[in-house]
Amino acid sequence: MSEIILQTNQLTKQFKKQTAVHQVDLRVQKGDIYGFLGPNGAGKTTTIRMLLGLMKPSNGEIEIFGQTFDQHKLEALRRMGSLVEAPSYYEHLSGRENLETLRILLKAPKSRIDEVLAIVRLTKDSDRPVKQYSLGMKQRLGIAASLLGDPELLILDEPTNGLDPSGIQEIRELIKTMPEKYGITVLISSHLLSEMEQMATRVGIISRGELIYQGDMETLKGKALPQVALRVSQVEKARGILKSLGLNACSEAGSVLIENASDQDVAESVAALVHKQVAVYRIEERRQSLEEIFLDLTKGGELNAPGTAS
Amino acid sequence: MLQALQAETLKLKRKWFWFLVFLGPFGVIALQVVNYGVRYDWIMRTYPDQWGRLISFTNLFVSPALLLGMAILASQLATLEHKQGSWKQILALPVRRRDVFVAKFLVIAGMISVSSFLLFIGTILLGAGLGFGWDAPVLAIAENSFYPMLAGLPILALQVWLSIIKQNQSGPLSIGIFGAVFSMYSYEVPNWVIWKWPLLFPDKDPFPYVAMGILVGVLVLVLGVIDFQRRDIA
Ligand SMILES: Nc1ncnc2c1ncn2[C@@H]1O[C@H](COP(=O)(O)OP(=O)(O)OP(=O)(O)O)[C@@H](O)[C@H]1O
Ligand SMILES: [Mg+2]
Repeated sequence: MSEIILQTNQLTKQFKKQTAVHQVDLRVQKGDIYGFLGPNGAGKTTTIRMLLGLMKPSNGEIEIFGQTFDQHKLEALRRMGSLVEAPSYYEHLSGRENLETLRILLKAPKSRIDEVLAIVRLTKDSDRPVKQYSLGMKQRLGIAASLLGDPELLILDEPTNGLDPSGIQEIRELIKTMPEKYGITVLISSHLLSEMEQMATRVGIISRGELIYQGDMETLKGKALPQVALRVSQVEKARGILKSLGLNACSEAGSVLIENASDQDVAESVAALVHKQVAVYRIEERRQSLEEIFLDLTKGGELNAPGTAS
Repeated sequence: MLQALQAETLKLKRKWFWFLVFLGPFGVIALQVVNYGVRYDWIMRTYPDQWGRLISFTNLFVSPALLLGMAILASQLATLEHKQGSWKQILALPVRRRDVFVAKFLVIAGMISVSSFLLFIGTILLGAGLGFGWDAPVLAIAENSFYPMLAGLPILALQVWLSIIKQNQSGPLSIGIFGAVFSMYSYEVPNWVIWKWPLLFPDKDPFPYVAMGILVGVLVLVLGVIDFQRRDIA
């Protein structure tokens, strides 16, 4: 197992009225692109604010680079970069001047500004006031800012929010290259699993403040059970027949669905149905989309096997 | 700390902060130009001590202008960060919250020192222009120009604190404006009311106010820093 670069133990944040984050145990390994997923209001931003020292946990602890974050905050932050929700900027300053105000605080070399501008392809516009930037450009400036300190761990909170498809694509491509090209571990939050599908190597899913799944992206994809749908003349009768064959069948407007069906199962089912005078009109395979799994997970609360599959 | 100061001054570019720094002393002097323009003969007849009179006339307006300036500058510098959510960006950098807070305070204190210096020069030029000659009582004018600012440091620290912790600036600004107006009428209030201190009571010894100003100013600053360190940054 590779080195754990960030972990939280029972991390909890209690606001006056509600518990926004409840006993969350994150494990992020070196070289991961860790997709931190959850619907609106699940507690992603609150968790990330705690990881950056912007908010104090009510309970639990954070370990980053193998050290207790609370006691080595500045040291850890020096090796991290972040972009939290909407990008921050001073609109009366140019892109370059914006980066300069941050560079000074980071004590990074001056040449680093040109490097990060080039990475996000803003070199040409770097001397224009940020006031005139499009949303996509501001977002890219925010990513440039997060890279200024040459971080080992990058924490991005919904960096593609509000971007058009090509902007999303561009940032996705950029992030994908980070582990190999720059040796950066990335934690990136999103409320869309489909967005993470092409990027993340690991995922953590948070819902109503609780981490309900954590594991490899591949493992999660494996949970997408194949179903076979049969359009039939008499749905209820068909369902009874399939049940009697020992199959896990359910009905749905005009069709019966068989879960986890092997080729053999399908063959036997069709034979049985035809034999019992049920007309079979169509047979189609359905694969539950990742988004559906995600919805199931976050709506239904707990997953059967929650927790860490690491 | 040096870095925080440097970063802070960079952000002042292309803003009209420096105009404000100039506007304060200019306004105070301009009022005296009007004052003397309207009743020059009467003033000259009534008060034989030309420079002394000019100083105490000026003094009356220094305090409100100063307190107003502090409130506006504190609010503007904090708004720079509030406006596009920059707190979360700079405070996630390896920088102490204390340094960020104190840097804001120091930058404004620096700007107000410039204002005070302009007031100092302005008073001498005005006196000379009014025909008092060039043998101005430099020390007394310097005291009148710089002491109010030192006596007002607690208020500066307070305004910086309020403006930083409040997303909405109407509260801190109202308090600042109210304090500025109130300070002009504060002869009667007890001595512990900090808004009274920049007035200095020209007839009394101003030094205790200055010493208290610096002391309490540092105290309020420390309290502000401690409070800021404890806060969640939303
Ligand atoms: N400063 C705060 N004070 C009180 N409650 C808060 C605060 N910040 C967040 N919350 C609450 O905590 C919960 C989690 O919010 P959070 O912003 O972490 O969600 P999120 O997962 O980032 O959602 P989104 O996808 O909408 O950004 C929400 O119900 C929110 O109302
Ligand atoms: Mg959020």
